[in-house]
Amino acid sequence: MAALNPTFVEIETPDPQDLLALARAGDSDAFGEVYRTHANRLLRQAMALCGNAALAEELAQDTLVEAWKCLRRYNGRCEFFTWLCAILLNRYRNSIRKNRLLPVSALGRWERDEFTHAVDKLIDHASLPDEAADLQEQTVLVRQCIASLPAKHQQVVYLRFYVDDSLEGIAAALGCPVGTVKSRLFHALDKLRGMSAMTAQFVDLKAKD
Amino acid sequence: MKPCSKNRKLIAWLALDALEARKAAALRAHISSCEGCRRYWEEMANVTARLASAEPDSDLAASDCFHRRVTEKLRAVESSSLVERLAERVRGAMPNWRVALPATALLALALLVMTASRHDTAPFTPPAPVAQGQPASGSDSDPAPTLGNYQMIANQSLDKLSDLLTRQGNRSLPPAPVYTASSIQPANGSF
Repeated sequence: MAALNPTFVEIETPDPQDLLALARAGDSDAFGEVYRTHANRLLRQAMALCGNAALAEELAQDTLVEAWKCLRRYNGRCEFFTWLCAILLNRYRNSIRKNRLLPVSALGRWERDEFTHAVDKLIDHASLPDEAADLQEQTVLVRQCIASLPAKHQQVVYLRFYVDDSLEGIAAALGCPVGTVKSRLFHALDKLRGMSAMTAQFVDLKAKD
Repeated sequence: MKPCSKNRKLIAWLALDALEARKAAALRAHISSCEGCRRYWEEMANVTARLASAEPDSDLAASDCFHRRVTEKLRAVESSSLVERLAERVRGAMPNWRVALPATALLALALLVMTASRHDTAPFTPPAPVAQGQPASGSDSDPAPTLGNYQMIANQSLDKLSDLLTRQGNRSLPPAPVYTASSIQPANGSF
């Protein structure tokens, strides 16, 4: 009678790939399961991009809706999260075009303070207060430098450094050849190298401990 | 000192850890001996380290409200896509206008050409009969009503003379002037 004993009942956790396949076939419940595993990380990315909690939520929500609408276009050649982030970046760029959002580089003093506060929420507060302040300052500067890049360069930098997919995965998510991704990354890094905020001697505060 | 131009991209990819091992080893060897490339490499490595340090790293989480809003938006998309699917079916049942419009135009053109050609080859239709009291066509060519003309036509054919007289009889003649005593002016003012 072991089958009736609740101790032996195994709750099967569905395989993410199976869920994704179901979602692609039009199962909205399966898509709900899939998106919930990525929602937090996506929200953090949105927050890091626009620095405003309300807008970040809206951006992440719209990204998920857009992903559901064009889920059939996802071909599995990159991580699903990378694909989501490519949509997020496109939506962010469109929002800036429509003047709904301002790039960080164009923020006024008040907005910049708000952005700093938002970035502060993203910082690991386990580190010491002084270090946290330095880290926050560095993060804000880096984000501002990235935001001043052309949109295509921003995309590859975000996907490479903060989504952490392979060059092939980024190329698949953006729908361009790997060579294009490499070229854009080179130009992005070369431009960042010329920015004074990026050239100051970097102290890796995270690596200290 | 500037880096070797052929190595700039390679150094960037090395900093991104996107260079294959053999090329990376060769480049590292070159960097150790070339001042320009070494400086460029240090700057690129600094940039990548800074970028990596700004990675979002927190326990920020999507709230229940967030999930509820996503669910609402997804439902809205589903219901609108249902309407879209229905509209697509209706559109599928309708003729394709990209084909139908040129076909209709061609048909109209063919009908126009057929009508025009038929009009050109149509047999001559006689004019409507002349109403009574109206001069018949060709009456202008009738000879003047003189005795000599009547004699000449009578010599040709009596039927022709009869027709001519009938035509001239049917013709509405202007009313004859009515002469009165007052209307007659004396030629020299006195009789």
